[in-house]
Amino acid sequence: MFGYVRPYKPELKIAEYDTYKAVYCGLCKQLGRSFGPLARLTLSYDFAFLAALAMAISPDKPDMKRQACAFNPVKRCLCCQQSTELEITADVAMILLYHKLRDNLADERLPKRAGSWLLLLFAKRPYRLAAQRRPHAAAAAETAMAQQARLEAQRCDSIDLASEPTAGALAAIFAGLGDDPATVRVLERMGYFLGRYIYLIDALDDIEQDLRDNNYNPFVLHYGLLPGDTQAIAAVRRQAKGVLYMTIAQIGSCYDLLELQRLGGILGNIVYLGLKNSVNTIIHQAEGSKMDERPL
Amino acid sequence: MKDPYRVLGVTADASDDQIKTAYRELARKYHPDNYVNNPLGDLAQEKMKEINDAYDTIQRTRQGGPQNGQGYYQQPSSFADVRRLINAGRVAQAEELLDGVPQSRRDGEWHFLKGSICYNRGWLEQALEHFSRACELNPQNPEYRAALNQLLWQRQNGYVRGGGYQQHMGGNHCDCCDLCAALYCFNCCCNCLGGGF
Repeated sequence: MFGYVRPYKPELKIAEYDTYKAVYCGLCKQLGRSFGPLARLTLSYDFAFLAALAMAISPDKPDMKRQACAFNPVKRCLCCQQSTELEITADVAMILLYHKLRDNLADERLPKRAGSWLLLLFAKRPYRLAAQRRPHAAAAAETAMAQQARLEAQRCDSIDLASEPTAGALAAIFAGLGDDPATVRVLERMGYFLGRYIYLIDALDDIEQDLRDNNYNPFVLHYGLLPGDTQAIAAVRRQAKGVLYMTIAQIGSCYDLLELQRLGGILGNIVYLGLKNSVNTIIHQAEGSKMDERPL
Repeated sequence: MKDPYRVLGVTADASDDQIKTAYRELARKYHPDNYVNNPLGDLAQEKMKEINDAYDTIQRTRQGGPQNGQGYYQQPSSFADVRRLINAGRVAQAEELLDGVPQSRRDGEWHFLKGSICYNRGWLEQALEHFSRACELNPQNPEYRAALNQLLWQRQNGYVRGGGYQQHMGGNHCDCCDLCAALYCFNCCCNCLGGGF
């Protein structure tokens, strides 16, 4: 589920890249402060985006300082200092990670299953801490998991309905970042489509594996895919690209309505270029073709 | 009121041309066409108004330029009540009314409205299906066609027509698309300003 929401580096300015890294470093350190050093290994791009978005709409300017880091003690990098936005993001990241692991445990077979089980054991206590601090986010994720299980049991073949639980959870989580009613409405819809994007790009990424393992996948069911039919699979990937592009367009039209105080360069890059780039990367990898220098 | 220069994202010493360009860029981004059926349409409209006001204010302070006046049209509908509900944001009720319509009466308008409700919910695939069906049933209707084309465009390009990332993309490409966009944009500026150019 994680790692699809990232910037498209070739179009990022160096100053923007440095700031993005500062958010990323800040979130890493926050995970350590909130849940202990092991939790820092769960850091992902998606939540760096969430943190950056929260900082961008916050009235308070984020505090950044040059600092050394345990993973690279020699180099001192720009790093965001502790803030409410980072605390919220770290908690949300832990809540979603925990549910992702639970989901993996249900889907996977041995020996991978054992790995997920072990990770879940480690994630349990941090999850409880995070859920205590953010009951709304935890409840949203909990509801989404239950809805998802129901849809999968029914072998739901509607792309819209299959992505609804994840979309709904992120809608609730995003809405929690805003203060005034108009911003909350925009964030809610943006979260909805970002959740839809994350769910569907993950499904796109997993088409072949899910076919092999006979796991639930909305694209497989919707288009009636059969294992081994490479041509049909390639055609469905093209369809899925369209589905995702449409979703990205919606994220963009919500994003345009946000009143940003800062970080617009990075966020715009992620929303307009990075999201599409992730889709294209998956498709090019699956087809074994090399990506153009400027795929956009 | 907000600083009009800030609204347009320019400095107070920007040239008239820079202001015009910034205005066109923003007007294209928040044009009502980009937010048809979108529950956030009212916010886009507010933005548009803010931009128009800012542009007007600057024009007025600089040279006593043209004044505004913006018209919005509504088409007559066979499901006028449903349309009203959708416009008022009461999607659940609208859908209830629509679902009660017998199969034999489900015309192009029905599919268009059903598609609008799906779109409102974020169910883009179903929205696309209904808009396509509406266009099949009424190939001449420009409203249905526009809704379908908007989604097909997004499917192809990954951003809302008129929106996107052009301003950051670097390099001054000028292809026929840009030209079309410029004309389209110029046209919409003229409309917003009551043909003041």
